[in-house]
Amino acid sequence: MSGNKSSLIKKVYALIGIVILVYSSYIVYVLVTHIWHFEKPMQHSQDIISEEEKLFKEMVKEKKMVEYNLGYKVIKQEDLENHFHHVGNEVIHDNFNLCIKCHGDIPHDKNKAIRAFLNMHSDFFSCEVCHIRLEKNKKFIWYNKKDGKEVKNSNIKAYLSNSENKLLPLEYIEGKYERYDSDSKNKFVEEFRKVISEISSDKKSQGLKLIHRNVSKKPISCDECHSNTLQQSYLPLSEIGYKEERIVQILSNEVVGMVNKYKEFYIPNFLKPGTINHENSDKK
Amino acid sequence: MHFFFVNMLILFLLSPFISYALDDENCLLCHKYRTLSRIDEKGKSRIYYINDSLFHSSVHGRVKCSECHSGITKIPHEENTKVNCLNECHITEPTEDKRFSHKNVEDAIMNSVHNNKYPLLRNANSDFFPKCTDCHNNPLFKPIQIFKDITDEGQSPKALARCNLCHKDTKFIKYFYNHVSHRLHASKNNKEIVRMCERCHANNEMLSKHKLKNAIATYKDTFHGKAAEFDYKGSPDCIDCHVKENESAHSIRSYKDPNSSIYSKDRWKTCAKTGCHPDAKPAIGGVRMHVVINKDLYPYEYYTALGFTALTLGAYFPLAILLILELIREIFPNIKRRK
Repeated sequence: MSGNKSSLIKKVYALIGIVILVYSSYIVYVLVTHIWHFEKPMQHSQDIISEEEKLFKEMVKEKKMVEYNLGYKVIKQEDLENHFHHVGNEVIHDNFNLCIKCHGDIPHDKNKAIRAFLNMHSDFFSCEVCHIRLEKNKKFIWYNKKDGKEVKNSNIKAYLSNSENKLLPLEYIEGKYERYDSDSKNKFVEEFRKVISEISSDKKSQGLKLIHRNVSKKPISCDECHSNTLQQSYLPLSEIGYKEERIVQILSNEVVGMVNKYKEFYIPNFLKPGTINHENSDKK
Repeated sequence: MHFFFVNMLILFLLSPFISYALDDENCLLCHKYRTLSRIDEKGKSRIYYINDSLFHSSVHGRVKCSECHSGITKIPHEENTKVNCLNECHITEPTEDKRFSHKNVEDAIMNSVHNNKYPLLRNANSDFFPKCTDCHNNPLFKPIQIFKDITDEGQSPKALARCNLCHKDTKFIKYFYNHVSHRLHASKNNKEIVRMCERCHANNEMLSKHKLKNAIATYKDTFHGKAAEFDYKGSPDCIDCHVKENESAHSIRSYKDPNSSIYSKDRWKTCAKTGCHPDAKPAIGGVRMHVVINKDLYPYEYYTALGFTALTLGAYFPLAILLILELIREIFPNIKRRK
């Protein structure tokens, strides 16, 4: 009996020995051969990849983090090539929203003047807030970006930057309010994403139509929320948790005034009947 | 009435510092948002966010946005308003009463290998040379901590107390303390410098364009590189060897340039710097630091490396295989070859 036991221990030791030897052989191999730098250097101009390929490669790579040791604290942030200013904290991404699963976190691109502002708002407003116009029975909730759970008693006194929560409108169906990202819709979108490469083109169009059926043709514009008075604002700011001091800022002259400047900017003069584009005529 | 005049006088005296500390151009109204960003026409992410606290902990913390972004004059902003680092800014150099600019840095760059007019280049295409932001982001203050206790901003309250005795404006004192003490030591540690240089000197495309070898990989093979990797204090980085003592870090020259710190005849002097190998003799300059294992370039090193590799692996692997076979026999003592 004791002979069997000692033989078993021996075998276990032998097995561990083999593992250690294989691993140490690997270490020795790496240590000895690393001076050769086996990676193929680019020698010919045809090896130089195009800008597009480079960008694609960069895009699929994991984010690189870097540390700056200041002696009294360490700043850890994303390594942004050619970016002068430090960004510090990482963006809290939304893992839950239906739309950004396909459209991403920085979806606005068309309107040159305001695209960065719109992307900034998508940090704390879900896409549905602006892209689904609620006429009656307006109701919104805040949800946590990481787990999607509803967050109650929002008390917003200051501006929201890199917010943990996002605002979401609710759909009014037969006397009940339902989230636009309900479990059933989530499930449908997930299924659709899985089968999209296999289904026929007409089915794809059908699916997309179904997913986007609530999307309004004309999204909520900046001045509909940044209005002159609280009553005129599309969003019920106090109901959704904004405190008076913050509402005053949102509806302040500097914000509303700036929104109007942008409005002027992105509706070019030549579209307004009866106006002359003085800037261009001066140049001529 | 007197009270009013006293207040006005205090405000007048403090106004330069107050205006720098505050965002009086109100740029942060929009730029304080972390996700103020877009994807540009080329497909790259453009982030317009300014981290206020980190900006004010940086060497540019007192420079107004418009001093650098001078092309921006209106809202909505003009397109393609690139920053010119040679702009003169509001800060006055106290000994000469001149407005500050990075002109001197440009002069140093013009005498270095990092500009396309340098005579000893293999490729002088101006597109392949670094711009300021290729190497630099906004340097963050690293104030020297002399005493044990330090504030959240990295300053020593004991040292600040000495300043407080004569100078009354706390913001000014902290800025001055940060500025002076930051400049008294290296603003980048070894790893940060290697990280900066490797953006080009370990980038295959760049190496190919300039017909260079990967200097970062060969540096990391050396004791110097290993020491830096393990955060050994005083380990040499790229700047230590490639910049002449007491010259600007921007004055890196080719090894063929007689003014270079690594020019063959004078290289040993760089090795023999006080903090490095003070007793070194001229022979140390003959030690090759960036050895590429290449038969055509360095045949002696190539065959030495080949011999070392063959001997080490040739001795180790057969031994390891024998040991593994013996251990397999321990596990399966009765295993036999079929006849």
